[in-house]
Amino acid sequence: MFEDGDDRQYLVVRNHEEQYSVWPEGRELPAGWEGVGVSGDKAACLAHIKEVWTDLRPLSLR
Amino acid sequence: MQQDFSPLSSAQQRLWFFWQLRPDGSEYNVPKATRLRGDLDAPALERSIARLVERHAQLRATFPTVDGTPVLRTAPHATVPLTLVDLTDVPATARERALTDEVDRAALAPFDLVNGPVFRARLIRLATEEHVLVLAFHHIVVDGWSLGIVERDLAADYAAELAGAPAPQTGAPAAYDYRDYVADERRMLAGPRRVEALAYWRDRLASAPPQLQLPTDWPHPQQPSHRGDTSSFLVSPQLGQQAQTLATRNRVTRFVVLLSAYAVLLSRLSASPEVVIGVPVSGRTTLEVEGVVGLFVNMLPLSVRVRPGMTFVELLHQVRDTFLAGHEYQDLPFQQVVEELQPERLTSRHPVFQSVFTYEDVAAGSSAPAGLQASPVPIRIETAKFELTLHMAWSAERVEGWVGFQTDLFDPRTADLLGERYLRLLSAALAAPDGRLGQLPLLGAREERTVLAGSVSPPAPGAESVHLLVARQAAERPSAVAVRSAQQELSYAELDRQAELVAARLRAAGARPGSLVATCLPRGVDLVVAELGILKSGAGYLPLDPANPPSRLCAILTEAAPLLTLTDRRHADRVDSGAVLTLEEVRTDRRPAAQGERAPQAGPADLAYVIYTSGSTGLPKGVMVEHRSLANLVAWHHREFGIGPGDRTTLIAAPGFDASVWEIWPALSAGATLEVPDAETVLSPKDLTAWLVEREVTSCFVPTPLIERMAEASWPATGAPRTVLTGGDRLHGLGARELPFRLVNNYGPTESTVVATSGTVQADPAGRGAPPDLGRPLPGVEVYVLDRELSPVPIGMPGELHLGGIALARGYLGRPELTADRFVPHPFAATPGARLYRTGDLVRLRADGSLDFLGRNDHQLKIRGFRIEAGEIENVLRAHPGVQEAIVAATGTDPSLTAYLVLTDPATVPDREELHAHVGRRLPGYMRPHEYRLLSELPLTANGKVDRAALAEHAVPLVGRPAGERGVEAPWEREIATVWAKALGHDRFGLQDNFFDIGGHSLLLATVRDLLAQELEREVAILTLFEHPTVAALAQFLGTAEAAPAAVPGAPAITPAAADAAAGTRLRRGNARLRAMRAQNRPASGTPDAADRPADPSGGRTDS
Repeated sequence: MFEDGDDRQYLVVRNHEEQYSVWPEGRELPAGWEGVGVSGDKAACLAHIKEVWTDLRPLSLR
Repeated sequence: MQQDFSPLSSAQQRLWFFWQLRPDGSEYNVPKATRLRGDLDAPALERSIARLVERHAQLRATFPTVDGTPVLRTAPHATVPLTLVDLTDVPATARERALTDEVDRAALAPFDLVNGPVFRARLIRLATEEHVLVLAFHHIVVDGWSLGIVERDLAADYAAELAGAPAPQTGAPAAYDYRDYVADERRMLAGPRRVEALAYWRDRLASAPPQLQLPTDWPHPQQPSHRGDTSSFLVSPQLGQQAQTLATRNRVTRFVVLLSAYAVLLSRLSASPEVVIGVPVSGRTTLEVEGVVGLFVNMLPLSVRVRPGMTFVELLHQVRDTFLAGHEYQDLPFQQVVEELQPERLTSRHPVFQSVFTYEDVAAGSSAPAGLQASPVPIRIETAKFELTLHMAWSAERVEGWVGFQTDLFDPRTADLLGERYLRLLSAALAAPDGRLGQLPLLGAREERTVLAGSVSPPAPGAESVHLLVARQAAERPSAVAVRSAQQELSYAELDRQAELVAARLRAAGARPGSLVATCLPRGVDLVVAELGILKSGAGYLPLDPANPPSRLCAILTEAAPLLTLTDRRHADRVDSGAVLTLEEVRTDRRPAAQGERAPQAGPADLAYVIYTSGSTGLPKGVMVEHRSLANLVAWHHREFGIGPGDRTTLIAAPGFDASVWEIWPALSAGATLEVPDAETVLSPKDLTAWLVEREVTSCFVPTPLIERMAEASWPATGAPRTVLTGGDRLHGLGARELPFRLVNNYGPTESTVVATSGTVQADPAGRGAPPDLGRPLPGVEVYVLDRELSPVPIGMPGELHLGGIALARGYLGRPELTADRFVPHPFAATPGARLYRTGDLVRLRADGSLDFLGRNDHQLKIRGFRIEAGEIENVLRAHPGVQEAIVAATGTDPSLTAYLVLTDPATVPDREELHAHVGRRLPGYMRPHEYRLLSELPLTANGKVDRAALAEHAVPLVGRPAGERGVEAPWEREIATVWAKALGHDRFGLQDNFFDIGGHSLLLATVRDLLAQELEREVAILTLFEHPTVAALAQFLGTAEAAPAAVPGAPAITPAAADAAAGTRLRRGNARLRAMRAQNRPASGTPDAADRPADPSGGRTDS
């Protein structure tokens, strides 16, 4: 899982603190996380996150 | 009487060889003890035994050598007396104990194969009508099947003796002789059948892993002791019934069902899609040998492919087909397969397979002698020929299993766990035979709770931010010394005052919670002032080491973009990016501190510090740690190590490494004094040791490689620290040495706030060489050991360590994509939305909740497809007396192994050949370094870790004598080469060629020995030949042994003991453990046998 260059498809996911991560498509998403509607291979998902996650502080601190 | 001599069968040759190596061993004894109740006629029993010996020629066999070759000699007549031991006078309370002793003695006493007898019988009388009959054989003349024949014949003979009848007709045809079997085998081996069979096995085992990578409790010893133990379990009647039903439905035997489940277990535990299991087969392929006592059993190396997507039913069919196909070739002795397929000799492990499965159908109603009730007496088996054996016994009444294991490798608790897991897998597979194998559960409910528990205890409640705790200390004991170096010291009051000045200036410059202020100051008093001042201002600190290359400092400052960098006049020029503030400016600033409005304080979720660590991509990454995580670390430290006012701790770590975080804040927030050694002192283990004593330090942190050296120092009787914390690299065992302090090993990535797990290092009095564990998780730290599918792996199995909980960093500064990649959704969290950090470290959870570090996920060495644990090779190198430190790395584009060595004595450079031979004796060819390079010392990174990247830079190659260019010149070489040529039948070898690589095999060693005895007029042990498999090595050994003063006076023979003594003279510090290992130096057993059976109550037969 999460290996570089694996051929899995991932989702871009986000929690209540607006922290982002990736999660393999088709697996049950842990509680408190939701997809943001973007999927692809890991590199594509991480590239998307690089664009949208501009403030790494948890939401409650912003 | 020449006709009495016959060659040995292949299997006998092997056992004979092992007996030569260890004539006093008992692992090849095949004993059987039976309690007989009733009116026993002892003379009739003795006559029955005489008849038995008369009928079965193998029980009269001896194995002398003729012209250096062992032969099978069958005496026309032989008497095996039935020795009577009377225990009736022993008090009843002590009788059972005495019985056990007698049984053990009779069962486990060694045999003399040369002179015989190879069979002994003892009758132990407990009472008038209660006896125990012990029959013990050397395995060279019997197998499990033979025991059944013996039992039947003995019962029939006894009945006939009682009735005064002539010897009954039994199954042993008088015409058949074991020597016929030997002749048949020789014919087969000389013919096309051998080639065909070898081709079959070569093909079948082509993709099999060279070794079973089972997680063990202890590292594989260089020389296995073969001590063993067993753990038993019972299969419920329902489960037995289910197994029978599934077997019938799929037209396989129960053996196939039970073996398939074992293959699944091994495959899962070793994380390998293919496993090779040794399975004994009777080897009795013709009807006429059915009733013959003798060694016929053979081992089939069954290779089973276990794909997670396969169903159990599919596996059953595969195992059945594999077994039947292999069974066709059971007449090819296993030894032949070994020599064909695995010339790579690893003396510590069994070739081709390391685990065995045996199965027996226990016949209902055993044949008890007439008028007597017979019941088996368990014999304590204390040896194990194989690393792991599963033995299943099936009778009408019950189905029982034994896990036999080598105690060198496994703890009894682990064997119990293996039995439990086998049963769990078996019952799940039987319940859902068409389900995917990958989904069969390995974890029990209790175990699952353990591995999913995550943390051991909750975080410290309401832990306060560190700068508040320091402020309290300053208020309570203002004059106590807070921090001291050789040049200056600050009281708590002064520290607080100066830090407030810094904070005020920073606030004026815009510092507040959430902002970042860098420091560029060396380790010292000013650094502490600066960091405390930054925290007081509400900002987080980013410590940079001015000793770092300017380009690196600049890269970090550019990415982190701190509010400003706090430095001093001396180091200001190092900072060429962003705003700079010097401490001199702060101190000379006469402006009054801003009054009025209360400065905003950092909260628990605000940033406390950012530490840059090197990234795998080569770019450093800034780990952001929040106050609550730091506060949790500090609270744990105070509770665990109990430091307070009056304690003296140290600041040794370079700024920029998170060890310094751990050094500074627990000390200052507890009111202790932080002692700062100067740069010179830190570089020398000896000076640092002296400094710690002189400063009366009570607790300190010392990086791993440094403490390993300092542990060897002579500490004064008093004055050593109370506690020494270490971490940063894999700690090697410090042996049985008693340390004058509590040594605590710690593990933790910066991403989990310095320390994730911690544990006190226990001395290793048994010298088993297991590296110390990583300890247990800190309060509030969650640990999960997960497989690639993010499922928890069972206790004891390797997996990637994932960390969760309060200590998790916020992420990487300015690197959202990296943060998202390493910090992933937490599938087991109690609180929604939590994250787990993927450490990339391979660990395993132990049953007691502590962790073992196994290596990096991404630094595993792979050479020619072999997975190699560099540590294994390094340990072997370190065991060489000339080597102090060793690091093994894969180098080159077509990677080969390079060993980097630090010598014990730089003036004494070891001989390359000798060193290579040392490694070759302990490791298979693919694990032997191609190149040896010498270093004056291991390069360390600034934070004390071994700097692997810098290894190649300073190393000089260890040049050997070119093997080909050197003619025979050293003493003995010519004689040895002559003997070799005679034994091998060719002389196409050089002085450095390994005997086993040029056509030699273990059995030829006896010939070599005898020829050498003639040629050199001295005795050389076979063991010595085995250990010195090149002409050069043997010659050198003989020379050394001759010169060694330790040679036993008056004894010209070079015995293993003398060899050991010779080796011992080269050892530093009289390392007893090393000597003991050398004394035991001997090759692994490999036997074509199934008799590894624990307390086997019956002479059953294999289901083949």
